[in-house]
Amino acid sequence: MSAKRSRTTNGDAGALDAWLDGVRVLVCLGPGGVGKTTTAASIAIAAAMAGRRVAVLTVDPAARLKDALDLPELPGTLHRVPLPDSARGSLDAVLLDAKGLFDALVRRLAPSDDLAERIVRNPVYRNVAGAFAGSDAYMALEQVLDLASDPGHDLVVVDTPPASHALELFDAPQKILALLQSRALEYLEDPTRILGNATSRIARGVLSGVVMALERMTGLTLMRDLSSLASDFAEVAPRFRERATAIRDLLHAPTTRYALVTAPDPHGADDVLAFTGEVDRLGIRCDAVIVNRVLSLDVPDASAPPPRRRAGGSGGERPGLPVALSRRLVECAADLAAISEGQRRVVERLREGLDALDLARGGTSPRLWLELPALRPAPVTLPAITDLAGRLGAIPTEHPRPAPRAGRRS
Amino acid sequence: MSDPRLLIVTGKGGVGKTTVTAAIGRATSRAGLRTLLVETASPGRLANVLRVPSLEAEPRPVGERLDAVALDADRALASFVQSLVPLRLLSNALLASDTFRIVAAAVPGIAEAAMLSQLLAWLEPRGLRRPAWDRIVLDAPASGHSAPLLSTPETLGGIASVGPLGTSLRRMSEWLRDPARTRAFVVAIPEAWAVAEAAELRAVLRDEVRVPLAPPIANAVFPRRFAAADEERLLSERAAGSVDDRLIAAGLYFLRRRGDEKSHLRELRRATGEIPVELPFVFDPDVRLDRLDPVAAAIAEVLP
Ligand SMILES: Nc1ncnc2c1ncn2[C@@H]1O[C@H](COP(=O)(O)OP(=O)(O)O)[C@@H](O)[C@H]1O
Ligand SMILES: Nc1ncnc2c1ncn2[C@@H]1O[C@H](COP(=O)(O)OP(=O)(O)O)[C@@H](O)[C@H]1O
Ligand SMILES: [Mg+2]
Ligand SMILES: [Mg+2]
Repeated sequence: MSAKRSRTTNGDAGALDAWLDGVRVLVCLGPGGVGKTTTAASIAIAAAMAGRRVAVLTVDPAARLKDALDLPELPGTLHRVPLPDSARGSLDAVLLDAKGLFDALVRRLAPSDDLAERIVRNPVYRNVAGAFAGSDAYMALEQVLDLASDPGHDLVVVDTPPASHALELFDAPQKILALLQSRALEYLEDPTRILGNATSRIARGVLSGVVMALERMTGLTLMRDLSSLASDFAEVAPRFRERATAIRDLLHAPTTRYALVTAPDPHGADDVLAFTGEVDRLGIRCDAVIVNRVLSLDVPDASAPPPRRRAGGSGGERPGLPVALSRRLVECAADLAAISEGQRRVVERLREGLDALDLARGGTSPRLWLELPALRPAPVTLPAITDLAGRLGAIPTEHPRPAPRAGRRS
Repeated sequence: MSDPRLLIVTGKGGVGKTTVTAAIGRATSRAGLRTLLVETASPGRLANVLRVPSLEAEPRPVGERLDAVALDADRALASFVQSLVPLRLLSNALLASDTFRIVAAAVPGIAEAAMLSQLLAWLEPRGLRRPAWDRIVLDAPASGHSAPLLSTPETLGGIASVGPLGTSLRRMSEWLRDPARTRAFVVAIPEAWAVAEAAELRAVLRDEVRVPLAPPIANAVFPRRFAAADEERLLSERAAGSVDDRLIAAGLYFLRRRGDEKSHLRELRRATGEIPVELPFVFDPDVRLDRLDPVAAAIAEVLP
């Protein structure tokens, strides 16, 4: 237990401030639906309240959150978010729109307008720019690069697009580079070259047949469009490569840190650990873990004292209450204790899994563990997210024993 | 021997699609129907719920009359290419090449089409073989991705009129629109965002994809344990301090959560024009197949 504790620090909002000291870019990672967007917004608010000049990049926010942050329809533009008077810093929000931005990037990097137009109008480009796995992620990173070099901000909080695999996020620069550098594009003129010289004519015939079948199916003049895209792109490639290299450097800079966002749902630990394992293999470590949507009983009524986990000692009846009502209360407490117990187990599994990762890599600094309560209704207004930011709490390492299931079995 | 039925489970990420898929499998397999559960998410949680190490690309038994399989876009694309190119050596070279990947990315819907044609192979085995299952339950991708998947026969099928893919897309399109054979279950939880999303998704599935819809599913609904008057009673007990405050807090949490959920259920009913089917919240730290009987019993009411 003590060995475990030495690898893990606990903290609260103050600890988060300290952890963010010297950090220029904070990337929130995690599988889809866990609350990355909400958490990124609330960390950004917390940091701004504490005096940082923050920019938050938001990806795919719930419609009401978008309204709450008062995000302009035009993606890619910064917008000042009004904070309470007590705020010592400032917050700008910007919404990511991968599609438009990819076009804008091509326009920016292309040596001539003509060339840019030709690329952007190419039917294959139109499909690939949106469909190419990781292009959303790549655009998010592009935008981070701009924000990080803007002196108006000293912290950029980055929400990431939904991705079930970390590779989709971090491979984007490499993938686009590899694509541009690979000889694949040259092959497009004669796809049968894939097969090398040794292969028979029959093989080539079959392959051309497949390509023709694809063309027939799609109505695209696939090969012609692809090879003209390839030669147009060749002119943009060197500058693309510079950007991609800069992004890769930013991702690995010491002033860039990563927070893993997760929800304590049953079965949740496995996804998250698989995801973190992939991130780890890419040489990226999540130094903070934020467990979002933890059941906390003071949620429905802020004046209610927080529950302790032991739900009523031995029996059913309580003085002063009808037996039936009393029984039902015990049942409720037991059910809520079961939820808490499930959440505790998931967090414990996560801790063990992450510790094992660290162990495999050799000595690493302890992680910051924080939790956020599940709020009802969901925090989609600015005051609610500001309130959520104030509830960033430490996760206790030593948990009380599982609650006795009083009243359940009897 | 009648045709199998295709049950499609969809909804926003995290609302319980996988759990509902498993519960349907529990209900139908116990009712004597041979059932195949098909998970499209990767990595998914179905294996976890079913208590098996992992799902494979081929259906494997996971219980009595219950099989499960992972339907993966990459693998479906691979087997599609293999069906076009009979020589393994060639199809592997093709799949391994960057060029092919670029070509595949440039063809919108090709991976989805491959997935659907794999699904069709389970629904309608080739030749005179009888289908191996009475029910096939598709744990479909989350909202944003399920409409593109299900409308692939329309978007791609229009152009893919020739060859084996064209044929299977036409067959799949017939399946997806046939109320005698197919039903889509849109899952929500009683929270504002999930309800809004479910109503929107149902409209798209009904008007654009034109797949027959089951009633809306409200998953993980808290039980009703108190009458409205109990709230005052609990508050006055709290003030009197006669009862352990943690118990009062737990009771009030249930009472208020139930009240809040009720308003979202009402909204779900209003927005969809149909009475939602409520599936109970499972208060077990470990939501797995053998704990899903109450959920299975509730959904059994609306299973075709
Ligand atoms: N702490 C919380 N309490 C209650 N609801 C939350 C909380 N965090 C997020 N949510 C809700 O959960 C849903 C998913 O959150 P979101 O931040 O959009 O996740 P992601 O960006 O990971 O997909 C949203 O509807 C959001 O309002
Ligand atoms: N009826 C239910 N009662 C309690 N928890 C549930 C219920 N349905 C789903 N869950 C939990 O909610 C989380 C999301 O469910 P899951 O089925 O994985 O959703 P999806 O497949 O839509 O992403 C899981 O942790 C699951 O155990
Ligand atoms: Mg998000
Ligand atoms: Mg799922």
